[in-house]
Amino acid sequence: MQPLLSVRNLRVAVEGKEILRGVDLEVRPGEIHAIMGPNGSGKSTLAAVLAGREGYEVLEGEVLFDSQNLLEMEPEERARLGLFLAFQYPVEIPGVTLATFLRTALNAIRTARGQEPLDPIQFLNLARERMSWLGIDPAFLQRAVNEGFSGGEKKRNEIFQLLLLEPRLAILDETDSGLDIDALKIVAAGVNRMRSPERAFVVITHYQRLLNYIVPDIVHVLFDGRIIRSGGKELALELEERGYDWLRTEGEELVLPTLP
Amino acid sequence: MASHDLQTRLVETFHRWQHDGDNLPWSPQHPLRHRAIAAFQRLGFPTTRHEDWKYTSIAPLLRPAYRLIPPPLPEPTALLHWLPALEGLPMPHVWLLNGLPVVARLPEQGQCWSFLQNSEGPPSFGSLLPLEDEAFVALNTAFAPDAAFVSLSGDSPDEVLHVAIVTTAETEPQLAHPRLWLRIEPNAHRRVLVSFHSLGAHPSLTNAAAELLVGPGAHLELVVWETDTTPAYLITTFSALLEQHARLGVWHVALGGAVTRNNLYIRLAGSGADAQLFGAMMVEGQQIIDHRTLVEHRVEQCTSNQLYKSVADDQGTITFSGRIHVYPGAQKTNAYQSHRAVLLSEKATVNARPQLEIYADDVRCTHGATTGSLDEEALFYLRCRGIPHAEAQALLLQAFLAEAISLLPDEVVRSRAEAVLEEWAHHTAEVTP
Repeated sequence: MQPLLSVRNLRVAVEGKEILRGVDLEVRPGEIHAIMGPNGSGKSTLAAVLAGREGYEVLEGEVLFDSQNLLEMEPEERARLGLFLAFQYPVEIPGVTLATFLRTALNAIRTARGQEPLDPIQFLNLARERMSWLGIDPAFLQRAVNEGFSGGEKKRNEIFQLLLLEPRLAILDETDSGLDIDALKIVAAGVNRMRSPERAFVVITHYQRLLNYIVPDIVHVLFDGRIIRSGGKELALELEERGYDWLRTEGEELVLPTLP
Repeated sequence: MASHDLQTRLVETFHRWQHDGDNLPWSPQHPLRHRAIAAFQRLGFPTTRHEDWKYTSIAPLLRPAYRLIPPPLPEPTALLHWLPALEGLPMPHVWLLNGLPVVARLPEQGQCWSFLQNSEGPPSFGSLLPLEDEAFVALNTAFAPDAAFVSLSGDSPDEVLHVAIVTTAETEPQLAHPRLWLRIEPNAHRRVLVSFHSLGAHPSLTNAAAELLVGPGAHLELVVWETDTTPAYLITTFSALLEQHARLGVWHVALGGAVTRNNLYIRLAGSGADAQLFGAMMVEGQQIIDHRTLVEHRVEQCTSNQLYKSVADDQGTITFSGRIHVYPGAQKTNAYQSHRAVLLSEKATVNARPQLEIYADDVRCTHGATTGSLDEEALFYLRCRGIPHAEAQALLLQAFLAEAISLLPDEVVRSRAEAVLEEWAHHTAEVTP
């Protein structure tokens, strides 16, 4: 099967400092990949570069999304092609209601897909349904985007957007941080509900905890800007138990093969 | 030299009126007129050397060969032709056509009249405006052909009294001096909309002056609508007096013609009075808006709040000067002022000058001013959800500006204002790369 996302030898610098030092990653439709790694290993940089954030210098390598050169696209083009990033730190936007924001976004994406835009009533019905999956009060639609939301509410709101926009590839950047166990279960249930043979997920996390509920097919360890090991879901458990240090010595000498 | 020419022409015209007599409803022999022309001759037109005009040169305003007297009033039916210029605002009660008042309909509880009905004018007429210190106030007082007097009583906030101020420059440049005197009677609660419209392809200079008297316990909610995009020059001076426990809210919606200068003077003269001043101001091209507020806390226990939002695109300039003056003895004053500006282009300019003068000790008085660009993080967040750059920018601009009118109480006027902001935000976002 054609990969949905194909990252090849990606080297990225921020303010002259090389953060990603040759990342290779292939994600096929239907797969859930977890990317784990200690702080500063480059996890969030990878997410940011994939989403199209400014300020990152690509030194080498390429990223194909559905066989198209992702790195040449504007962030909104990537979103309209079906890429979604759940932000680690969702942004507060005073004065713009969640409803206005998401209806504008959804209709931009629907139009790109050749679908009819939704009118306000159709949008509200869909939004309410998806909010109910996550136990979010529909009153949030009339509030300014993320303004005054608690940490947990912001994270839940990211997943709500995922459910609403139905991307082909969703990248979850530390969605578990700041969530208690109950919220984590709800978020995971929402994500699992979206699993399908056509859709893929890349779950970036520091901890194994989330992966109890969103069970990955493949776990990668990102360390010092490289993926130094890939394995099945049991790798996550091993990391939880042993930390990352045991890979440090091993990883710097060995180049481990990625899964076939 | 243009300033000298126009000044000479004006003074000569005035003396001819005094000498030959004229048909003006507001007599050139009225005592205020003598003081006004003398003050104007003494002051002359301000230049940028004048502290209050430091950022705005009025030289271009003085260049056109203006017609100095209003053209004759049109037939009442001709007013209908101008309705489209009102942009969907409520039907006016009072028109000021090149300074000539026309009462089109009467408010439910209140009166409208002019010098035609009473050659004296109300007793307090002229007392609130700084006639001796400001050339444009002096000029208005010397040259306004008549004045509209409006007195409102009762508690009918849902009725918006609309004063439409129209300057026509269809066949030649026109100078107009609309003059308004408005009193809200004790304990009344009323809404007033004053809108400015310039018509015609020739330049026009509208020099408006208004006095607002808000009686004890009265509440005035005033919207000042300045959305002309024609190359018009506009100078407005609104001066308000608030008596005991009076409340005043003022909302400026200003898009900027060529040059707009607003002077908004608030005198809190009775304890417990409260003034809330808001404004959304937008410029593009080479437009200039210079907005000046002066809030005088003359007695104790008054409150004032100011929130202004500005967006400057292209080579536009916005100047905000906000002065809060707390008089000796005005204890328990609570005054706040905030001006926040977004620059959309490197060549746009925002000047912000907060000035606090405090001569009492038991006072809370703060101000804040920020100037920056649109929040890049917010822009990225919106784009990451598929919203095109220009549309994301428009959404953010609209939200930024809308805060200044969120408390505008009248639903009809507020939704018109929201539409104006939305339209401007989208228009400017598309032309900004």
